[in-house]
Amino acid sequence: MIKTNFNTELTRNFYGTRLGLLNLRYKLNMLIQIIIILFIIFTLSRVSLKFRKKEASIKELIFWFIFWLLVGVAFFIPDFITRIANFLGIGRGADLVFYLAIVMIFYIIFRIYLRIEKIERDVTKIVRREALRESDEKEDIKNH
Amino acid sequence: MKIIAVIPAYNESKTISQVVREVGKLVDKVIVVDDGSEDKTGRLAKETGALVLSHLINRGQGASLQTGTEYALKIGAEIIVHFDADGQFEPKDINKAVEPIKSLKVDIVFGSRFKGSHHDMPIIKRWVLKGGTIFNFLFTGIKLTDAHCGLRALSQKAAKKLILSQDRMAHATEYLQEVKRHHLKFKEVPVSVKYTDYSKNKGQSAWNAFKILWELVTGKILR
Repeated sequence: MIKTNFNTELTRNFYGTRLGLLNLRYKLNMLIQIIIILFIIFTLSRVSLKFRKKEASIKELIFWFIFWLLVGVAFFIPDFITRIANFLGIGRGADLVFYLAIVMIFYIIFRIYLRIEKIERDVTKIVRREALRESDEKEDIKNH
Repeated sequence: MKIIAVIPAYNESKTISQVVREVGKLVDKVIVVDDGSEDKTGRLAKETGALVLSHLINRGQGASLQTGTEYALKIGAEIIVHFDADGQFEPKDINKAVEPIKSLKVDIVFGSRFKGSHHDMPIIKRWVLKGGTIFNFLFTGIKLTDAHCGLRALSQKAAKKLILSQDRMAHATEYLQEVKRHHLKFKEVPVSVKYTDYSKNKGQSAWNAFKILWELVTGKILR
């Protein structure tokens, strides 16, 4: 009898604490969602400002709007991404985002590599022109 | 025929004078491309009688060859010989390389260390170069016995058509691609090579083969 009472007490306490934790988690989640919303609004306003100042193209504008829209969807309707992930045979939505991020990073690195290579070739062109110009001047001095 | 030698050189002050002197006896003019050397390579080459073009900063062997070749064309070269500055080639092999262009109307002549003597070539280098010939064959459809020999001779026509965009070591394969693209006639001649401790040190390591591979693949995309 006493034993059972003790158990119920414990159970109630246990659930009590857990509810408290859930509550805290819920509040934190709210806070993060608000921050995310503010951040998205801030970023998009920056992008559209840039667009209005003609510093960004319409392509960029659309890209960033879609990108941040997706980020918003991912945060507010996590199930949405999970469903896409499941459709692609990936267990969790977070995993899908992770894979996509890695693919994108590799792509960006490759693009940067190509850009550097292009700059290297341009540097060579300048160095070559300088080398040839210098020798031309010498030839001129010899000839005159 | 006006024969001009192009010698790319990066920090080769130990050997450059002798190479310029010996090569100078066999050709009409020697062009040394000083590829941003930190030592007195350029000055020594000039004192020995070479025409020196200087890269302000180091741009690699492919870039230097292209600079030298362009200049040689400008001053009226009819045959252009590429030669290494580290002194591992036999200067009189230049005659062997030039001969087919003079008589047979070949456009480009590649030296081959495997057709010639290569007794003291390190075994790993031998394997890597053999692998390189297979790779070159797959990449360009041209089968040579040597993959990356620094001694070659170009006719004026070939030199005008073959433009190197690979600044570093991938230029040897790039030449083959270009030969294929322009349907040029080529020939291989045996050249002998002596591997001194100096040239072994200056030469490429086997790992560079992978770098060349990567450069070729990205070079295709950039084209």
